[in-house]
Amino acid sequence: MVRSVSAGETAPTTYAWAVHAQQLRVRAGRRMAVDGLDLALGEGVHGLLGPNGAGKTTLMRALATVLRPAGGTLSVLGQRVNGRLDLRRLRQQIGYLPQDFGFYRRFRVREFVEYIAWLKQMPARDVPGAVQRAIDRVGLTDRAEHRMRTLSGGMRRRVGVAQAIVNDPRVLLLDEPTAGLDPDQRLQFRALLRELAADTCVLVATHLVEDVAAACTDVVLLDEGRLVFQGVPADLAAAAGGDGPGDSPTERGYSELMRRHREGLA
Amino acid sequence: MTGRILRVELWRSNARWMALLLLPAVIGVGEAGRGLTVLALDQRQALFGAFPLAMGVAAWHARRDRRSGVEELLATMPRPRWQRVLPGAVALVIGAFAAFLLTCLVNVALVANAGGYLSTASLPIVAVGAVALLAPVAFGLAVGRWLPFMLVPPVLILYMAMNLFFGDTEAYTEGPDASGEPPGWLLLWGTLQSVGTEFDFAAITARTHLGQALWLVALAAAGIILYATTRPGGRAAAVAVVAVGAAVAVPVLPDRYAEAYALDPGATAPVCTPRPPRVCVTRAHRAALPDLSGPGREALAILAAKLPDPPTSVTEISYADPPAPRADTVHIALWVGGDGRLRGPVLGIVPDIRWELLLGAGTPSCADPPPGTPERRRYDLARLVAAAWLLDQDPPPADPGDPALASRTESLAAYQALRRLPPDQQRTRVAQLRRAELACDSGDRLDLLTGPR
Repeated sequence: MVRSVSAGETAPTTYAWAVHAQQLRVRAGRRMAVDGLDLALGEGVHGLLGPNGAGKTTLMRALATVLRPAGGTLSVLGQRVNGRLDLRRLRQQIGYLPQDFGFYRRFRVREFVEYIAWLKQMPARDVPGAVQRAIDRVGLTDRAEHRMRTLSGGMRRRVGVAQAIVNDPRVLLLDEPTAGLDPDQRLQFRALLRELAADTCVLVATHLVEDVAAACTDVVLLDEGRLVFQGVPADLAAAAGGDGPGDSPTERGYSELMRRHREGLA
Repeated sequence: MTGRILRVELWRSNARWMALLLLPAVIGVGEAGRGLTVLALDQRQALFGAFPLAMGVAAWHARRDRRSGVEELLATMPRPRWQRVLPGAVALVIGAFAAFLLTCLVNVALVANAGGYLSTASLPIVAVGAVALLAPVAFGLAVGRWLPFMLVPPVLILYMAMNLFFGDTEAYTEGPDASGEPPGWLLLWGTLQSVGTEFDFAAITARTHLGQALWLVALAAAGIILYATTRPGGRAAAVAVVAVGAAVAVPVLPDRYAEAYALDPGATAPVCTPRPPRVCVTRAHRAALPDLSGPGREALAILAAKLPDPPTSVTEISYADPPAPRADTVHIALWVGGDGRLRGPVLGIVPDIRWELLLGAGTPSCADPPPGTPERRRYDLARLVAAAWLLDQDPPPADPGDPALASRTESLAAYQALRRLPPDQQRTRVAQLRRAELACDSGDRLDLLTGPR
């Protein structure tokens, strides 16, 4: 099925990076959770790794336009994100799965995804097709008419992914998308990510290093609100050098980079 | 697309609960035989109970985003908040209207079934009633948004219910003919009440409809602004809308609560027997015509047989707005029950309708002395004795609970005093009483009947 493409989408991009942060500072409550981050992301799947409290979710929220930057600059799809501008156009091109994905329990799956498509201000004639495609892509075709409250945790997470991709976003932000998915579904999900990577900037925040190794074209390592490492998964694996804690080369690479970073700070 | 979302909200939101909960609350438990206006007024009074319920259900709906944890996701959506929340609000209003409309249709069916009067005066009463439901829905939504806590909807229902049932209803129970004279701004509550028979002929004045509608729309608008806005000036705008609404509505409303009511000419139009002697009831009570025509003709026959210059027709009048007495017509105010049939006279001293027709020899009471005084007692006694003489029966026992009325011995004594006079004297004196009553002359009526000459 071919989706309809608006004039805006086919126009040549006027920006070098889908996401571009310079000395970005974002507050989470009183804490400066993202503190001086420099980051540039293009199309592809970027795995966002880091320990708890590294600022992953805060960065995601800032990119999703939930939080306003406290300092530095942040551009998404070439548009500066700050308090004054009208973010409507940008928001139409973003897909977001929050870490705590809430939904209306009484809605059917199709109704909820439709509702989000409406909130994304998609053209009415595109909505039914886009909704069906999003539901199909997350493997919920046979659950489309089920009530949200009857779904298992993993299925709900997949509805969360479906609502995030329904508008074919240029920037897709997925915070812990594989939480609650069984191994089969995770394989399916990785395939979906690879499919999306062609024309979308996907940022996946996760704790699961294997997910990153398997599905991401790029790894972003974050600690205490700053960039620790950015490169292809192979570089991450290579960083380990052969020993250190972890069960796979990527895990060992992750631990090694975090250790070096912390020692460098100390 | 928005239509599709509205449909989803209708089926997935509290809209159906709104309809179900409101249904018992908006049913006017009225007497269908008294006409559609009475039921419509009952319904408006029942809105007292519906308001807190509507607010509670709406507040619960407004809590949905918080309850469902979707606020984070919704914060990233390009569609403005007011557009997003509108379908849900409209769905709730549709739910409330559905319940209201259903009871209206039931009312029409009940009135038609009882042969009651399907008044057009009830239409604006119902229409403003529907408008009145907007405000509590809108304010419930606003409260639910700004105080999104679990306990807010139930507490809101309880508080509003207590307030309405025990507080401000006091002013209403006085009724339109109260001497306490409740002020007109009480009409801002958007309710109207119906007690007593006179409401069978009531219409609500255009000023009242207009003032209430303006005010209620302003309230609803303020509530929706509070609910839907994301702008910092939203609250100030809501306050301003309420202030402007009050400033416009209060001068439009009548000064006194009682002035909300007027006589509905459609309801008081006569409906008569096709053949003479003519017996007429009001259109509002047309189902009671068969009940009045028999005793009415009997009373006319008695008057024709026993008195000179007798009346030739019986006509029902509104007790609240009696016309001037007429020599050719016997006026009577009727009490009609829920089945539309005659229960008795409105101010019945005697349950038998013939007695009521023949009181004062077929004249309306022209009582000057205030109730409870000895003069008034003698006045009422004279009218009762005249009826007894015409019917050729002893006066019936009076209500022992009403000290203002003459006791049985007293009335029997007066009746026998009249009876002891020569027959032509009796006839002359009853005819004199009739003339005095029609002319509303002053003077002691009992002296006229039984006093020395």
